[in-house]
Amino acid sequence: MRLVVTWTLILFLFCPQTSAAQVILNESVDNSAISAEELRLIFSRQKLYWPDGQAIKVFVLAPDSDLHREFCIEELDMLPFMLQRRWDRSVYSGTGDRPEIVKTEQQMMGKVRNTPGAIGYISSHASFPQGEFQFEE
Amino acid sequence: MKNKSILLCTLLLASTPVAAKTWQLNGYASQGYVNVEDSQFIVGDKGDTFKASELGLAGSWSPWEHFRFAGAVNYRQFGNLADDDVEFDYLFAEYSYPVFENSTLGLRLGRTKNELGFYSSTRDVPFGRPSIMLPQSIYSDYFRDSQLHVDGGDLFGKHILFDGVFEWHATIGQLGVTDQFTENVLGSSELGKFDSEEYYAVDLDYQGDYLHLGLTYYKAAIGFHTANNNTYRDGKISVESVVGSIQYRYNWFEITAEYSFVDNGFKGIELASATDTSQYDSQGYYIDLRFYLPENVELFIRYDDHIANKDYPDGGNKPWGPYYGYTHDWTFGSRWTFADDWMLAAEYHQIEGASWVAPVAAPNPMTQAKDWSIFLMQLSYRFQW
Repeated sequence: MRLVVTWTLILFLFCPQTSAAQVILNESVDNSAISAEELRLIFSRQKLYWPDGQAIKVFVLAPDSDLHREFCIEELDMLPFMLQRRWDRSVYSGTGDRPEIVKTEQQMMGKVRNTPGAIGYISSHASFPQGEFQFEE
Repeated sequence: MKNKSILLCTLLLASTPVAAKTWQLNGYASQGYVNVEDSQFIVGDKGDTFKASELGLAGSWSPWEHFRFAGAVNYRQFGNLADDDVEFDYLFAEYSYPVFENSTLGLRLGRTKNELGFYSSTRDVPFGRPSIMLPQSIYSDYFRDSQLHVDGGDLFGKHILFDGVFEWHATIGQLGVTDQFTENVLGSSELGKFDSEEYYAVDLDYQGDYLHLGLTYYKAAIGFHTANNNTYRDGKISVESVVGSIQYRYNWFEITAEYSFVDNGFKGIELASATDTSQYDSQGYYIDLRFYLPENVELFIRYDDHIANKDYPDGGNKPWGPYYGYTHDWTFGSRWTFADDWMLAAEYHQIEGASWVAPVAAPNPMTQAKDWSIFLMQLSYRFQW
């Protein structure tokens, strides 16, 4: 088993790592630093409100898209299926909603720009005029 | 003033179609195959069955901030343990409000899911449970009605704690006991009818990045009204139970263990008179080791142990045979998510004992061996709108 895990990690390290995703926020959100732990809680729909009491609206790209996978691994430090498992638990127990899934980065930018309390992500080379996001390592 | 203008513009834009949706739909469909050797559990006298189908649609709507309405409809059949049926799995109105910076309190009224252990609330959903058949020592299929949903109220809280989430539920109401429960316990729904009388539960759950902990306490009473005084008397089953759960994940490896203790009280029913009472304690636990391999493949091995009456762990009190007093189930399984929304699962159970084989109050040792096995396969699909 140890051998399998080791080889899996080596394979992952040698996979071509394209540009990372960047987090984007609606301008209504106070864009002070958000920790990696908070980001994980937000995208797994466990933290539901911003500090000012505004509801958090989360947008993601299709769960099988490359950018979603990159975002989960690089920014959330989670495998996509772990995130999906947390959404499934909320949705099918009725206790919560999963993030809204959008089809393209353009749609993502439009939704985040136009939805108060919104958070999403786009590829790092794309530009999003609002909400310059500071990431606290 | 400038800030107000920005906010106004933002709110106006929010009402256009590009803003967030106020509703969402999720669903799944699955088809399974079950083959059982040396028992009629699930499959009856045919030995195998394709009567293992599930179809579900869950929707939620948040028309105003802090308010949410949610509902799920399920179609399910599972061999002779569950005839094909459609029902609301949950249907409730919810109000929740942020309290302090990292807490939310709320109330749900209507039909809510029963939170017991890690999996009771998602036990019918292929993507919400760890295997096709859950460990029966805690999530018995014959007792499924009592773990499914509660008609009543659910007061809940969610608190961010140590980079994880602590969630609690205090639930009061009635269980959804159906004729299927009567069949699984007594062998026939013609013999009488069970009705839920009361149900109270408290559930605590902490989910961190690697550690998941749970503790559930519940108290339930189910009344019985006989249709035939010669076989069974009017009576009541009172159950008080505690379930403790722990899960730890490290990289590609995960270990899960759950323990359940149940205090069972009986009045009447199969006792000599409707006023006679009896009591016994039962317990169950399982340990599940799981490996997440590349290409979305999961492999697991699980040991599941159940003792029907702790005073007789070897089943010495069972007139039909000692093996009706316990069950040891070794399960080997795998799940493969071969496309984003498709999953193929297979598992094999090597079992000694029959304490959770339905009908539990009217067993048939002629068709049930001490050592037996179950093989299950299931193809599942999900959609997210």
